[in-house]
Amino acid sequence: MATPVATSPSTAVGPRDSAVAAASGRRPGVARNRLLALIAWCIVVGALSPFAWLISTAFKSRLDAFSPTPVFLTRPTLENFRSVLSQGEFALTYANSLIVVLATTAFTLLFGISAGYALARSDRASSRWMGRWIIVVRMTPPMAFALPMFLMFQRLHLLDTYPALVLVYLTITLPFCTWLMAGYFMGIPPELEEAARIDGCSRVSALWRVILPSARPGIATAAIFSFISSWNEFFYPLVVAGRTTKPASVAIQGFISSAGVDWGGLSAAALLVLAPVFVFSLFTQRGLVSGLTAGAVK
Amino acid sequence: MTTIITTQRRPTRSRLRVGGDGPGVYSALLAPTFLLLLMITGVPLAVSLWTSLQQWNRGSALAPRFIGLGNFTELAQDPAFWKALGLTAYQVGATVILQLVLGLAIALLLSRSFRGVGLLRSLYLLPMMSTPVVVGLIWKMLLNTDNGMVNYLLGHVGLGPVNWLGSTTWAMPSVVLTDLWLSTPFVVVILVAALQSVPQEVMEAAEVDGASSWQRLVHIVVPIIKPMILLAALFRTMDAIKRFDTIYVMTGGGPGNATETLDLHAFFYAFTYLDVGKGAAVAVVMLALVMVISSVLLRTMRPR
Repeated sequence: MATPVATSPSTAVGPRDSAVAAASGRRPGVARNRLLALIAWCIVVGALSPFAWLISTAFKSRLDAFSPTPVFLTRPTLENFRSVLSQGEFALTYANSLIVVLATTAFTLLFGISAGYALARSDRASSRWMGRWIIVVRMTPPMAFALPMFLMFQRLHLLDTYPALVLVYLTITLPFCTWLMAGYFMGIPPELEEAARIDGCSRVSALWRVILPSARPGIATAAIFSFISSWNEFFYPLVVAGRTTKPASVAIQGFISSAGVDWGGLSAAALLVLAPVFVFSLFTQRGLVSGLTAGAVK
Repeated sequence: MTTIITTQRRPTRSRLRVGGDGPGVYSALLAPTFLLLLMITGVPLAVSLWTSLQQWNRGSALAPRFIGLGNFTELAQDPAFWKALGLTAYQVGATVILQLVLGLAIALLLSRSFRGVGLLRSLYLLPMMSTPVVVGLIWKMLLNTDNGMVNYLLGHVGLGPVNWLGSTTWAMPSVVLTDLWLSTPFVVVILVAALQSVPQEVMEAAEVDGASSWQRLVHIVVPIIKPMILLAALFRTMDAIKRFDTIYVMTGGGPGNATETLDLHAFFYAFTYLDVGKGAAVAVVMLALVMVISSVLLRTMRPR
């Protein structure tokens, strides 16, 4: 970092002074960089250590999981996974999660892509209002959406159904992904579409063959976001879901009962819940900042 | 592809011809989503506002009755509400402030270039992406009094055992700690991006002028990335005030009501005591709080 300064002619300080500064700063600089890199490694490894403990507990025997002094992995066993999956109940809620989350993602993409495209190509005013509304939605406590929806679904006898869950999940995913897609489409020049149309594409096929493929990274980000955020949701299903549609995120509490805590089973179930999220989050790196702050920055 | 675009570019008139069916098509594409959003966000929000003005207990046979600001005046006289408000201020304030400091420090480390930094940045995201309920349960396990990892490690340095989740003093710090672990990565992601946009020349010029690293941080880096710091603060505040899942599974608002923040308070009103009007009123108060805090932050963020 110090070396380019010495060669830079535009700095006010004479080249000799800066060369001296660079030379004196170099030796400790290397050691300092190494030390800071080491600290960074320690922090990240430390931050991930709870996962290591979770994994080791998931593969422990019942006896080890309850041991008063922590037992580090001795003989791994699949006992916990077997019991979690054979109970049936948890496997069922896992399937519920998948059904609702996939349906939510499909609807989010359908509505989010079409509206995002239209927002990007239409006047500034509507996209400005959309941005404001997304911020309002993000600021609103979930209770303010969940309570009226609970009352409405109760009246319509829709409580504990998949459509009800998909509708409440859309309150999180749809504003988010519409905005994300609008941002993406804004980055695709309208000329691209025009060219396709002049070359004889219909409007629909221009959209389908030219615009959508160029927006593929954005679509992938939107899909992963809506998958992860609805998969992770807890409050809405706690209110709206019931015995038959309960997702895994709500069911996992069942491992802590008044009778005691099944740490091994809990950890195995926790790993199963985390697995899809971890797989997906490895793909979502690039769109992350833009997605998480959707509505606030362009 | 680019050559096609430049050669095929037409003057505005032909563009109008090509896109002649423009506005109609766009509204047709927008309408379904607007309607859906109105139905699932606009209408419920309006209903919540209206419900907060009603005396409405689902447990009683009485029909909902309009009482104006009655719910709010009752809340204002209820010590439990003020306690929940104070706990929310504690939880949100401690979480966001600690997170910004910690997040900036970690972002400074992770925005340097060294071998493996890309991997570290990716791995560090994992807590943030994790299912919050699961995170709550992991920390419940780690903070367990009898065989939890935290007390085991503290025992080695001669401290503890602390009854983390069962004592009124330590329950809230435990909740804050969990949220720090869960969402500091969010601050780091934003600040790493911000730090990478700080012009190298500025830093080098400062170094040449003899500024120490600390001086460079305080007088140059922080002022440059201040908008992004405030942005992170804004989003973290909005989300921290809504933090429900981890608190609910870790302490359930207890012991007593030592961790019963406004969000849990509203939930208990609406779904345990079935007092729908009060539940909605608490939610409205929360929304108002967030809006005030956000507008203050946004005002500071705007470049003058």
